[in-house]
Formats: sequence, structure tokens, C-alpha cells
Amino acid sequence: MNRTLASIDKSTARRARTLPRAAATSDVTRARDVLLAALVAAMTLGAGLALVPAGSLRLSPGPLARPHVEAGLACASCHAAGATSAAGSCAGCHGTHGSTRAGHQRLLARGELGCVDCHAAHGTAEGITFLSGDRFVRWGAGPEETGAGSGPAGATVPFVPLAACSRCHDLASPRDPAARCSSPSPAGSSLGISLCFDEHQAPTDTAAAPGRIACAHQHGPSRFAAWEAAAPIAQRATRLAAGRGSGAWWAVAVAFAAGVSAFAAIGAARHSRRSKALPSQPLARTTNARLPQINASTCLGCYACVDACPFDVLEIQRYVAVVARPADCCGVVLCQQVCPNGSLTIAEGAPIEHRLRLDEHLESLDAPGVFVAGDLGGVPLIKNAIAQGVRAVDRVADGVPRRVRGGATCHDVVIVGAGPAGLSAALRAQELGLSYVCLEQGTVASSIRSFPRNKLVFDQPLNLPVEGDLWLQECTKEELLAQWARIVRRRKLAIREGCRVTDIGRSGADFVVTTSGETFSAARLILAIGKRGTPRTLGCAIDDAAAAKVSYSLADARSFASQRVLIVGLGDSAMEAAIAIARQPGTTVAISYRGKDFARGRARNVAEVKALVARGRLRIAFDSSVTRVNVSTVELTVSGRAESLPNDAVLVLIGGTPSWDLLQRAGVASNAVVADVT
Amino acid sequence: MTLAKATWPPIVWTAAVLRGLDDRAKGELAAAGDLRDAREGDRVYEAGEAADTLFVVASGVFALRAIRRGDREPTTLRTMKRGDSFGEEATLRASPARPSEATCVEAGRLAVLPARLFRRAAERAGPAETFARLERMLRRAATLDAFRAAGFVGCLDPADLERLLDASEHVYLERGETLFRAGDPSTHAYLIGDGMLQLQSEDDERLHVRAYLTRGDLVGSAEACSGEPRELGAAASGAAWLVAIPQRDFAAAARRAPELLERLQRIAVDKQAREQALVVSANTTQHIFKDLYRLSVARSLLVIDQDTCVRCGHCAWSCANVHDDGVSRLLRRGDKVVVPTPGALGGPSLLLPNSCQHCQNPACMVDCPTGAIGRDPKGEVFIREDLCIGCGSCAKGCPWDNIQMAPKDGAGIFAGIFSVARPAHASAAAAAEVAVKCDLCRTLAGGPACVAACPTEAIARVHPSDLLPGLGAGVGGSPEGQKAAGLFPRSTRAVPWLCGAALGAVAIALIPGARLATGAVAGTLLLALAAYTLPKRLRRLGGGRLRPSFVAHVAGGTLSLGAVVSHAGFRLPDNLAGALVVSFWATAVAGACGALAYRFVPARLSRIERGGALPEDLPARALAIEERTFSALSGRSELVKAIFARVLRPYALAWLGPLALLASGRTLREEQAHLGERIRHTLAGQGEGKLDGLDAVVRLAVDRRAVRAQRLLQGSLRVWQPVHVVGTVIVVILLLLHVVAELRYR
Repeated sequence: MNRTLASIDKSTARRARTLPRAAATSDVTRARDVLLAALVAAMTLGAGLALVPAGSLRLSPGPLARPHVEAGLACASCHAAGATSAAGSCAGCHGTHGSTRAGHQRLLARGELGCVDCHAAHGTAEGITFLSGDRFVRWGAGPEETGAGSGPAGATVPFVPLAACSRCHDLASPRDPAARCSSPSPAGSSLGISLCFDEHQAPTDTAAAPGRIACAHQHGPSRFAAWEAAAPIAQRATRLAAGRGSGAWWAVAVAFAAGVSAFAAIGAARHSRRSKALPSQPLARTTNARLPQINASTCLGCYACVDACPFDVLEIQRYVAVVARPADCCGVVLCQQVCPNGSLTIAEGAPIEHRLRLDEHLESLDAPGVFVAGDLGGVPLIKNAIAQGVRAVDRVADGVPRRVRGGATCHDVVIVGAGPAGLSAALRAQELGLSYVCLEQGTVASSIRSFPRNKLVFDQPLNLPVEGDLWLQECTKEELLAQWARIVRRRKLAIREGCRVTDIGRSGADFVVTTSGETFSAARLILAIGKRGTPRTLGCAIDDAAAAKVSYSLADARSFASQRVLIVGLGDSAMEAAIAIARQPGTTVAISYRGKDFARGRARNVAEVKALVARGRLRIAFDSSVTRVNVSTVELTVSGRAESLPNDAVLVLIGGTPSWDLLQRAGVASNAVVADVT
Repeated sequence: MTLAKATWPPIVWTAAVLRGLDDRAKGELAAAGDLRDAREGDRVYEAGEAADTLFVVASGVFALRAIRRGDREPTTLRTMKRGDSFGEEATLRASPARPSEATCVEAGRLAVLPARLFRRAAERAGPAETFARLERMLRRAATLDAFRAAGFVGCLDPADLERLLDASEHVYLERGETLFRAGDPSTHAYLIGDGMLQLQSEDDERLHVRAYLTRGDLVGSAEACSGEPRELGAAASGAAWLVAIPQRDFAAAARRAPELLERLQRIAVDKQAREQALVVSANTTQHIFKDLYRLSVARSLLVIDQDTCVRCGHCAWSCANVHDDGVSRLLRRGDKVVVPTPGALGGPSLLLPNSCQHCQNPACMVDCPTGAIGRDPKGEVFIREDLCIGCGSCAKGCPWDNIQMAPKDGAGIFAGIFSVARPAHASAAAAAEVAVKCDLCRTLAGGPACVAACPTEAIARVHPSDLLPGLGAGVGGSPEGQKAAGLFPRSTRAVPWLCGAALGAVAIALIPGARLATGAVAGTLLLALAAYTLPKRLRRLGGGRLRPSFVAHVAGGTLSLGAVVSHAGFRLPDNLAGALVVSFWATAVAGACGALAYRFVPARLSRIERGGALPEDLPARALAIEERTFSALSGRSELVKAIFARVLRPYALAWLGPLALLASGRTLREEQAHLGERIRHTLAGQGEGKLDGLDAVVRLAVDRRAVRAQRLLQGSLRVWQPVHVVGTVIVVILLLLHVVAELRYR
């Protein structure tokens, strides 16, 4: 990914956190793929040529006629070296044959008619040879057919196809002399055999010819008998199916197709391999906290561990890495994996308190039917939350009794919380066809906003069920949230936003989940509520009509353009919201904070807010509290004095209360509780 | 040559910077530094060199010279005699480049002190006040030199100068760090001591760079005097150190010295005029401002001429082929710049791919914890492979991703034939990695493999100043430089050879000949054409440029058409020979399509591209544009959303849209303007004031259509190749069978 100047984060520069790795691009792989495809094509061609029937694979101008084959002729017998035509070489064996027809004699004399014009040695040669035992073999150039019929044994009668005559004669016209040679039956069409036997000699002439082998059967007493026997056979059958030489064409076509499709297939395989995720196993839950330990004498200060840690636990101080925020360490141990010389090792720390008692399928050991997925269970990272959501729903689908599945009044599973774990559980439940509902107190995945970094960096794609891979390598939180919102819309997930769960009870074997609106019942319960908890509310009076303008989380800063906004609170989320809204055009932003100065929050946010105050884009009222919210104003007490500000929207960001009580109502216990009891 | 402390002349120890050091410090310095003799005219250091030593004059006279802001000739800034010190900028916290050059005016002797050791010795010497005083002195000296180089010391009276020197602080910025934003109150005026700053404005969440400022420029002086808030923002394009002068002191000094402001104004106007000349007009999609910093630090930039490059990827392939581990150090992704040609609209577009550009002060070298990266005197940045431990700091530090991690024991040049690409995100623990980057193929005869392997000679390694004549010394350019056209010397022109081959083909086709002779000619030609694949694969054994072979191949292909026609005529016999002819024609037609595509497509493609994109990047880019469209639409007025739904969405997804874009011949910017015009025409003046953010959405719609057009064109450049290569193999096999059969039956 090329980071040009305009795309660098405008507020501060950061070195890249993802490590650019060399990957083979299509430039490099294409040449190899094409070679492979060519190899496949070559092998296919070889196989094709070998498998194609020999008769259809004509390497040469065509096989010889049977008599010539039996006479043991080769190309050189007739073709003089280098010449393509064999004119004049027939006479060597057959002797010169004139014609009984004057027209043909004239042509012969002029040299325009030759032996091969009527009798082909390759191509269209046809004939019939009588065998002993009342059988004959009808041969063409290549193919042969045997049949039963009597005739003088050993006699060979050459057939002349009418196609040869039709070069000059018009066989359809009755006045053409050649019409006598064709029979009026369909076999007498130009596809048939000529029936004139008197071309070279009168039929009744039975004089023997001087002793050449080729002549023995053509001349002599058996000649007429052989013709009489052959004529009906010639009339009966049409031409032999000539062997097509197109076997080679087929082999070539298949080879081309094989080569090109091999290339396409290899390309597709590479493409899917490139974007395929490694299957992500959810992280195993550990019993003790883990802490990185750094050997300062070998540490190079190369920043590999600092960049790899998702929670900014490590820092470089005085050229070596140190653990700056041990409390934030979540045990992912990526730092140990990336350390190039092993200076960083992981030591076991104190046992984790408040570790929920769950089995390996994420079901509570104390309250069967209740599952805990995501950050609440103590395992960090979005991809682990997603995997846990899938695992919990898979287990639910296995265990839910058949009768309840698809029930209208009672769902199979209620999912509390629509963060990464809840969203993944909802997707999986929809995929498996379970009846589910997902309850969210705020907006979908609003807990992502509180993630420590402004940009989220993913080394691997997030593998959402049904949706597949979500590969946003380095994205802002807004981009990820927008993507998930689109998924919710596209898949029509049953997520109820703004629905806060107030109580969890039981009715028989089912769970009854009470919210501020409806009540739901389900066979199973998945708690994916994270650790952030419910936002604290303002303790003051709010006009009924003004209730809509008070919100507890920032959805989109742009919707506050041209409004007068009051933000209550001065923590990180309040400061970030104030910064985002102050940047919108036409807004007037005021912050109300009960303390006297900045008490907490990242230095970057504090500096940014101070800069905005200096520019006049923001006003902070320290030592103030909100007394009343009206439709168009808000009343504050600032340092004892009452003040009324014109106002269009109030954003309350004063932190949240963690929902341990919800866990208690559900019956999920943690190991600390159990330890207390025992 | 190190001399013991006893032989250092005492005058050295009386220099202001060394006074107050105790004996131990003096001993350390004497042991670490040395004395150097200088003859008249010797250059002690050049401007722009890395500053890491401090000098004290023991005898002789030395002078600092530089071209001051607003001058054309170098002037002497300061003369140093016995007991004076110079080069104090080396002791600053950052290590800047020398702002001026130091020469010897009269022969003498210098004491050379390594700056880092000097700091350490000074920090330890005596009580804390000594070092505080020393630091103040060094800071003032460096500030004074910077003021002198900026050229306004002469305008100020000495009392004001002293006040400014005392009040000034030093500010250090990293690349990308913001100095101030538009609208911030003007608290300081800044003088740039080293590095580059860009003045920028943000419209619609896109950054527009208005000006670049370098060493010696004063930032924000006008606002500091008038006290108004900042008009533009300023951010560092590269690591920079600045002298921050508080507003009140600066305003007071400016009031008392009116010619100061005039002079600054004049300098600013000059510079602006020069920079305006660099901004090319409406015909370009990118102009060189996008990353001027990159051009100023690079010493050997790989550029690809997008109007000639046929996107074949041979450069990357040959890079992978030539190296043992089979990893390509070149990726054809990156920024595009349009080189301004004087007197013409626009100019050739050049792609700057991801390939090491051997920076002057490489960020990778600075970040490397083991010192495995070095820079040799010829300017090439190299990696000592046995020292690389694979930590990845260099790869993360390079702002353009030119250095990357690759598996340590590469599988060799035959890798990948039988394995598909390694997934890019396999964990580091799986395989040891080292950093790889372009090494200029210095072990290879014949120069860089990528340059030799380009069939159209569209790639070259250039010095950035050759790209930008007239860029100015401040950003590393030289006043005279070659034109961009001269960067790509075209050795073999294709057209004459092709014409000759076409004529030859016609001639051969018409000349009757014996079957055997024509067959032999045709067959030899075909085998020669098929053998084209050999020279490029044997590059490792040392081959020449590919261009002549390529031209020979295309010419030979044209000739072969005539040869085959003369041998086989236009008949298609129903046998093996017929199959051979058919496969030949299929291959030849594919090759001809490819040649035509190579000739006509690149120029068209470069007009609708915003940067380098590989074919596998385009689907992801389309998706990213969708995402950005949605986020650009949210929060906009209903009118904008309606326009999007009714006009822009159909426009972006129209079936024949890409063809219309290509046929119209417009660049992206023109297309955007055209579409905007159409929308405004349809609105006919209504809805004024509610069209906030429409431009961004129009731009994204045009991008969306352009991506589809790019996919089409890139596909056309590649689609013929499998048919051509597969066909070649089939033709060769059938040819051999045909020859065997013919010979057997003769």
C-alpha cells in the first residue's frame, strides 16, 4: 500500500504499523502461469494425438488404396523425389491405357486427362476385391468394408466415382453422354459410382495381357464376371465413409482450450489464495495475566514489539523497550512473536480476577444455557470476538431442542449486545436458520469507537460468517463501522438498536429478557455486552419534548453541522466527539465539565482541545453542571452562577457503568465470587 | 591522524565553545578529535552534507559561503579566524544538513571535534549551568547562521538581532507532522533551518498543497506581523528543524526595519512565480506537487513512462528472475507525476513505482538498529545481509514502501512454478525474514535488469533533477536538466523494421517456390519466433537488452505470415498440416492483436489512470471507491443525494460507460468537468447553495467508471498472451510432427 503525502494522517505522522511484506504480484507469476498452461496444452496435445483413431489422423496426403498397399508401394515408388505429382508413373506397373472414347482420347493426347483424374491412388480411390469363400472386401483409401457376395476370387474391380466425371460432365442432364454411366436411382447421383465398364476396353474383350501381376485379374476370362458381380454392389451402397483427417484438428482445438482454461484456473487459484484468510482460532483463555519481560542488554530498540502491540503497552525509552502500561496487557503475545532476537519473553503474572467461569464452548458453568462471547469473557481483539460469536452460536444450534426451532413467540437465542461478537453471532444464527434477535442499547458496534487507536490495523482479514472476509488492512474506526452497518442492512439482520436490557429471568426452561420496550423469551442466551457498560445518564430534569435531542454516543459528527451542541464530560470520548463536531462547518460547541481542569485523557486529545479553544472553535465551562434541558436551551450552573445557553443537541459522554449486575441476574459467576464463597 | 592533547594549540581551548570545559572533557575531546591542515582554497565541507562535526580554527582564515535567499550569487556569510568556531549546527538535537559551505581562505589548521562526543563531554563537564550556557551559545550560533543564510541579518539593527537570537527556540518536526492549522492564532514566525515544509489548505477533506518551503524560507511572517490567524496550514514534508521566533519580537523587529518586510515579500514573490511554472494546466491528473519531497531526497529514481509502458510486467519479472530468492524488488504501484514540458499542455506521465530510490538521507538507514544498511560513496544504499535480523524497522520507516520483508531462504528461481503465491499475511514466526530492496543490479553486467528487460524501453533510472528543469537549487534541482524525452533513449525503433517486414512478407508470398524450400523457410522462421522466450530467461547468464529481440520478434512474425502463405497458400487440408496452419493463424492473429494493443492502448490508458495499478488491485479499488462514495454522501443535502441516485449512479454503472469514456478521449479531469457541466445544466440554476460536496461525489463517480475502463484496457493488453503462448507450443509440436511426417513419406 503506497502512502502518499496527502493520505498521511493529517494530525500526526506515524510510521507504518503493518509490516510491508514482499508478495509475488501478477507480473511475476504470470510468466510462470503461462509456462504451466503451455505445458498443460502440450501434454493435452500429445495425449490427443495419441488417442485419436489412427484412421482419422492423416499425417500424409492420405493412405493408399488396398491394392497398392498389398503391392507394397511407398511414396517413392510413384513420386519422383521432390515432385508432388505422380503423373506418368502409373504406366510403370499398369502400362498405358488409352480410352475407347474419342473425347477422352483427345484429352489424353493433349495431356489434360491423366490416370489420377479418375482413379485416385490416395483420396477418392475406391474398389472392390473378391475374396475366396463368397466374400468381398470393398475398400476406399483407408477404410474397408467386407460383405458377402460371390465373384471370381482374387479379382479386383476399381470403382470410379462419378464425382470425377462431374468435373466436365453434367450428370443431371439426360443428353450428356456420361448420363449413361450413372443409374437413375439415387445411387446414380454424382455421389455414386460410374457404371461404364468400357472406358479402356470393350467389356467383352477378354484377351489376357502380357504377364504383369496387376493385369492378371483385369484381363482374361474372369474380367466380365467380376464386373457383373461388382456392378450391383456398386449400385447398392453409396460411397464409403471416407476417413476424415480432422482428428488432428480436434486434438488441437482441445489442446488450445485446455491451455487457456488452465491459465485461467491457475490465475483464479492464485487470486483466491491471495485473499484467503488463515483460519483464526479463538484465543485460549488464560488463568494468569501475562506480562512481557525485556532483556535490556540485548534489546535493539527496533520498535517491532511497540508496533505490534494493539494496546500500546510497550514503549521505547532510552533506546530499549519497556512495559509502560502493564494494566492494558491482554495476553495476546504478538510482541514475543515479532521480537527479532528473543529479547522479549512472556512471564506469567498474577491470576486474573473476575474471570468468568465458562467451559470451552463458552457456556457458563453455573448457568447452563447462558453463553458469554467477546471482550466480556476476557479475551481481547476483534477477530477473537468474532470467532467466539460463531462458536457460541454453533453450540447453541447443536443443543437447541428441535421443537423450539423457528418458533414464533419464543426465539431460539437472544443475543445481548451488537459489537463484533454479537454481530458475528447474529450472522451465524441467520446462516444456520435459527430464530434470533439481537438487542443493542446504543448503535451497532459502538464499542469499537473506544478502541485505543484512531486507526485500526489488521494483519489478517476479519473472517465474518456468511459475509466472508473483511479485509481492511489499515482503516479508521468510521470505515469499519460503516462497513458493518452496510452488512447489517444488506443481510437484514434482526438487530434492535436503542433497546437496553433491564432484567433477565427464567420461565421454565426458557430465558425471559426484559427491555425498556418489549420482552423476549428464548431457549438460549448469549451475552456479548463487552466491558464498557451502559452510559451514565444526566441526573437532571429533561423536558419530555427535549428527550430526543439528548444522546449518549456520537454516531456521525456530520449530522451536527450548523447546530449548537453541548457536550457533557471531558474524558477521551467526550474530547474526541468535541473535536469531531467542532470541525464541522457552522457548529457552536460548548463543553460542560464538573471538574476544574483537564483530569484525564490522552495528551493528544487535550492538546487538540486546547488548540481549538485558542482558536475560538470551542468553549469549555469548567466547574459546571447541567440543571435542565429544554427544547431550545439548556441551563447550566457554572461556578455557582446560573447560565442559559441556546442549544440544539446535547451529547452526554460521562463514562459508563459496567454491567456486572446483568451477569449476576443471568446467573453467570466469576472465579472471584466462587473464591469468596469457598 | 590523532595528536595528543599536549600538541593541541592552546588557542583551541580558548574558543568560546570550549571554554569552561574541565580537563577530563578536554582530554576526551583531544583523544576523539583531530587536527587537520588546510590549504588555501580547500573545501572543508559542502552545503547539504550531513553535519556531524564541529570545527575550531587554530590558525588561518576560513569562510562560510552560501547563496542567500533572494540572491543569485554566493556570498560570504562569515569569516572565521583563530579561536573562532564554526559548524555548530552539528550539535543540535536533530542532525541537519550543512546550510552553507566552508572553505579555507588562508592556509591554516583546524581542530575537528565529533559533535556527539562534544555534547557528551560538555554535558559531563562541570556544573549544570556550564552546559546550559554552552547550549544557549550553540543555539544562538546556529540560529545566527540560519538568519544569515536567510539573508535578513543585514536589515536588522544589532539590538534587535540579539533580542531575536535570545528569544528564538528550535522546533523539530517529523515527516507529516503539522506545524499549525489554518485558523490557528499566529504565535510565531518560523525560519526553516533544514528540511521541507508544505503550505496546504483542506477543502472537502482533500489536501491541496499551495507551496513548498525549504531551508532559508520564513514561514508565516506576514501573519506574525499583522497578528491575524493563519490562512493556510503548514506541515512538514520531511524531517525539519525550524527556528521559532515569537510573534511579538518579530513584529517589533519588523516595525523598526521596514526594508526587512519588503525584502521578504520580494523573495516570496520570486519563489511563487517559479513554483507556478511547475503547476501544469488542466490536462493532467497529477502534477508534480504531489510529493515534491520525494523528488528532493531521491538520488536515483526509477521512472516508467506510462504512455509507452505496455503493462507487461517484464521489469518486475526479470527483477525476480535475476535474484536468488525469486522476490521482485520492484512493484508497479505508486504515484504518477506529469512532467511539465515548457510550452506544451501537460507532458509525459511518469509512474514512480515502489523501488528503492537511494535517498540522500535514507530513513531506512537511520531506523536500522544493527547498522545493516549503508550508503556507499557512489550514492547507492545497500543492505549488508549478514547483519539484517529481520526486525522490519526499515520497512516500516520508508515512506513509500520501497523496502520490504521477504523470506530468508528463498526458494530460488524455480519457486512459484509449482506453488502458488505465499499468502501475504503469513505470520512472521513462520519464517525468518530479511529486508530486500533494489540493489541496482550492481553484480550484473549490463546494468539494471529491469531496464534491460523492457520490450518498449519505457523504464529508466534517472536523477530527479533531470525530471524538473528549473526546479531550483532549494529542492535539489539543477537549473539545466535534460528534457523528459531524453530520459528514455530509444535504441531500436520498431516502425521501420515492421514496414520492411511487411514488404518482405508480401514479396515472399508472391514468389513461387518449391514446396520444400518454402517449407524450410517458414519452419525456420517459426522456430526462431518461438525461441524468443530464451533470451529473457537467460538473463542471469548475462544478456543484452530485450528491445532488439522484441522488435525482431514482431518483424519476424509479420514475415512469417508471408512465408506460411507462400508455403501453404490459403488451403486448409484436412489433416495434420491443416491443423498446423490453423494453429499458426490463431497464434498469429493473437500476436497481431497484441501488437496493436501494445501500440494504441498505453497512451489511452495513462490518461484515465490516477496512479499505477496492477490488475489484481483494480477490484479492490472499485470497492474502495464504493465505500468512499457512501461516506462522501452521508450528511449531504437531499439534492445531492437525489443527483447521485438519478444521475451519478447510473453513470458509474452504465454498461457501455467505459467505452463511452474511452471513445470520448477525455482525461479524468475533463470528464469530471463535463459531468459537472451536465448536472448544472440539468439543474438550470436551481438548488444553489445546496450543492455542498457534489464535486467530491462527481469525482468518485468518474473514478468508478474509470476503474472499469482501466480493467477493460488492461485486460486487452493481456488477454491475447495465453492464446499466443499456448498456440506457439502447439505450433512447435505440430511443426515437428509435420516435418517428420513429410520426410518419412518422401
